[in-house]
Amino acid sequence: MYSLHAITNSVQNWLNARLSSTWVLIIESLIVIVLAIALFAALGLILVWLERKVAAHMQIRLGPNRLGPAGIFQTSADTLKLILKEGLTPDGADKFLFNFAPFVVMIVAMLLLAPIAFANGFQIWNINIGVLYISAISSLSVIGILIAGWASNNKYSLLGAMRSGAQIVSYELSAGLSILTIVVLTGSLQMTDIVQAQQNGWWIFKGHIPVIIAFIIFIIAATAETNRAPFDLAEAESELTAGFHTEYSGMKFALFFLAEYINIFIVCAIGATLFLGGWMPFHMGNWTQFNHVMDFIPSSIWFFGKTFFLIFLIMWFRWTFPRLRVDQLLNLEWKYLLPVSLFNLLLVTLIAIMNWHF
Amino acid sequence: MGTAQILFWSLTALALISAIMVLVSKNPVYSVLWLIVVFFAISGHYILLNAQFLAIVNLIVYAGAIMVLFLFVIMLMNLNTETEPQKSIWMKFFGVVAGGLLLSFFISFVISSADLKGKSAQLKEGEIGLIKTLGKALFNDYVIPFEIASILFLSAMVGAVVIGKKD
Amino acid sequence: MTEQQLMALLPFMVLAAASIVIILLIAFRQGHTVIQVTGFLLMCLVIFAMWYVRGVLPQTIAPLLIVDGFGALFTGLIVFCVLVVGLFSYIYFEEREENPREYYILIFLSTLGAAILTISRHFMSFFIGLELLSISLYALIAYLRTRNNAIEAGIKYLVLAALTSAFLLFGMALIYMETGSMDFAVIAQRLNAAGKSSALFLTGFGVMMVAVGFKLALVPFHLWAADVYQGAPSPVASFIATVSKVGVFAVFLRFCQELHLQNNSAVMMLISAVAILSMISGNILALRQQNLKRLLAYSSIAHFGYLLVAFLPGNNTGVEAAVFYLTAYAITILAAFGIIILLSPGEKDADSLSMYRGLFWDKPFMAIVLTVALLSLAGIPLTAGFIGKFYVLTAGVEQRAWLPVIVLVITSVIGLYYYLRIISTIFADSPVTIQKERSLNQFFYTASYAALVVLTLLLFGIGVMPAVIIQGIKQFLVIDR
Repeated sequence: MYSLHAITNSVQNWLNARLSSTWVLIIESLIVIVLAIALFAALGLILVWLERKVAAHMQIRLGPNRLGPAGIFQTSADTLKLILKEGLTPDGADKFLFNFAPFVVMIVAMLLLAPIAFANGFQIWNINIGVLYISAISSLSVIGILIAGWASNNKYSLLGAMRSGAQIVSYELSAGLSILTIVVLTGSLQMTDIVQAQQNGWWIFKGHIPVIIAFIIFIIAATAETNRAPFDLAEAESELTAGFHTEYSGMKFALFFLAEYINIFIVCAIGATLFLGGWMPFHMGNWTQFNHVMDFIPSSIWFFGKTFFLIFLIMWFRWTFPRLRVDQLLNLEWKYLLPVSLFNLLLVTLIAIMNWHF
Repeated sequence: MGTAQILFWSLTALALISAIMVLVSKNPVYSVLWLIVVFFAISGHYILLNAQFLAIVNLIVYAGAIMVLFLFVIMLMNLNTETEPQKSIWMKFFGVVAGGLLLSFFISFVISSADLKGKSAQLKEGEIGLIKTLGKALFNDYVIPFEIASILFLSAMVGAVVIGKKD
Repeated sequence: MTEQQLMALLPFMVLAAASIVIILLIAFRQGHTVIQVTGFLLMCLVIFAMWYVRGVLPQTIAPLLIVDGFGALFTGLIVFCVLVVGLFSYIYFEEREENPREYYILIFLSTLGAAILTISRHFMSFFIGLELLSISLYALIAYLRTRNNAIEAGIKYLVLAALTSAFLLFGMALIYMETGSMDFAVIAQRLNAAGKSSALFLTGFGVMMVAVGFKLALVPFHLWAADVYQGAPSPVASFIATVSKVGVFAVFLRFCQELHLQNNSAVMMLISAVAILSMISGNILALRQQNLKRLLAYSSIAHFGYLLVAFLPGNNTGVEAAVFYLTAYAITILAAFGIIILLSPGEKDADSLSMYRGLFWDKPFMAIVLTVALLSLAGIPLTAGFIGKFYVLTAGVEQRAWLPVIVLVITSVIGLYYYLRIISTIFADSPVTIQKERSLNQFFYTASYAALVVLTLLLFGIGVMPAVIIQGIKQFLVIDR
């Protein structure tokens, strides 16, 4: 009834009936691009507003409340302001790279959307190594950040970029290892297979304690990879003014800002897909009535619900934990998270081989 | 020419041009960035050969990790065109000539190879690059070299720790 | 993989496990002495394992490895060298009060790399073994990193070795392009089927020679040798001179044997050109050296030139001659480096020739051992070096490779000059006494002296009764296939 799958299929059939396959490919790509940009804009607006509201709630304030109901249009106004602002390029900066960096970060964020299954049968590219694709592409966002930091010709920027680079490269390891636990359990790297494997229960419920540990490590690593508090040393305001984007203003700054929130959305979407079943509804064993009620809720709502739950969790962290020092940050990864995730991966492998999961 | 051919030739051109840019860029940071582009182009070739896994691993390892470390070091060294000694124009000229001769030498031999006559790469076919095939090959036929390769990493790690540790 | 194949790999597994054992010992904070003794016992265990598995040889472990008599022979030589080097290392590092413990891990890993080279029959294992060998060597050369020379030598070796590895891979790729295989046997088959040797194969082989020539320090790829020998700690220099070169030579020999390259006139031209160049430049560069380690480096360049002459015929005589020469050379160079290590005072190595003035009057035992080693290097009768050179000459004459043989004879005479120069320095009067800063447990000195005595006796033994060794070598080579 509300299957997005039906819509995509009918569009495809309609196009196929009229045009050659190359043109169908081109037109479909255009549609996807338009949809992706629309999604980005919407996500940016909603997530920034959500962040401010959550922050306000945590601190017992009201937050944005002037424009529209509950200040919902505040971010649109902010965006308008950013667009109208002059984009300065500092003297002595590397002009080309300085202007190029925001786009690198943005393109990487866009590429990450490709294998995510937003709903049942609604996916841009069902690549057979989806999970690896995501970890590969997300590791590229460091390059954009490093370029931005270096091209700004500002020592705060460079320091921020270096910190951020060290952080992302290190935390990628444990993020990758916790992703691997699910790959080991599923036996496939494809996103659709991973979601299908959770039809009779999400991995976080089926996989015993090791998967819960992997989930926790994933959330920590995701927070660190997106440079969010308590791991926001890259832009620690009290030390580095604003980190790698100190020198950026106007729309170029907005692109960084947007990419940051898109990245949060994407890591949370991946977490939701891997551990919480993606668009799979919540089922309770053999209680068919309950399961039917759950199936009645559209798959896209399940997906976005889970993703936004994780986003809320990460926003919650920001106002709960104090910022780490850089050595504490690296110690946490290399001395604790990495050994734990390696051992955990071994346990999960044992579980998968012995078929101990439900 | 089908889509695959067009993609193949444009990726090849991209790879070659960026590889040349790695060499001719005055600023080492640009060289590293061009090198990243080369890796992207090569990954594209892997995908055309239906070896998605190799493509992605190439990106993770080279573009995502090794090149980032390169950028780290080179950005902190603060090398500039002004402060670095530049080779004289004659040096460059003879370098290009010698390299070009060597290249034409290799190309003429490669073209003469009997084994390559009338063959072209099989685009979007073959299963060698798929993760399942690769995994089976690595853990069945090539298990000993695989283990030796892990010992190789152990030795690199010990070596790095020995040289880098504080007393 | 069958049980027998696993059995055949046992010595290599023990070798790999040895480094892990050392890591664990370090983790449990054991001292240098414990690690040294354990390492020694583990190497003995490797030799024992090789003796234990002799019944199941030869075993082919498809597709990459073959454990046969040839491999066992070279692996035995390598492990023997490591035993001696390890023994000398204790005194060297203990006197310097550096932290020597990780040194043993790297030595064993590097040995594993060399051992894998001796049993590889495929480009993949060739490359992995070579990388394992050289990556450990980078760190070993720069091990005493507070010394200026050490870091310089390490970086030099790293940059050049990485570059030549790229050449090696490129050459392999070209040969693969021509034959469609990386297996030595299959390459030989395909080349035979094609009839004539192709330009592409020759190019590939030539490019591969860059890497092999670099590792064996053959002219024109020898530029690193003197600096690395001088900058590296003396035990590491002796390791490079023996283990690393034996391993690379073994795989090169196997490759050429398998492909019957002696029938390929172009390849033979290339190799004899390299041999002649190495003999001439090595000996001439050594003439004016005032530094014993640098001198040994140049002499090793010349010696590997001689070795290539033995290599030219490619028949069994040639292989026997090469193996014999390599054994004699390894023993000799270990004895020479043993003296350098034992004489070295705390802060630097005893590498300047002036430190050896009148050594005979100060430390007669060491002077005699060093003299014997130098005589053997020069190829004086009654020493192993003489028989080795004699064998090489015979092999060369049999093949009627006149030009290399004539160059060999002439350059040997030139070589005599600088070896005798050192010997005359040793026996000169007005001795210089080298003061040691601290003395150690007598046991290790005794052990090192005993090792030196054994090496000297071996030098004489092989020189007087070469038949025994040659019989042994022949027996091993029979289990080839």
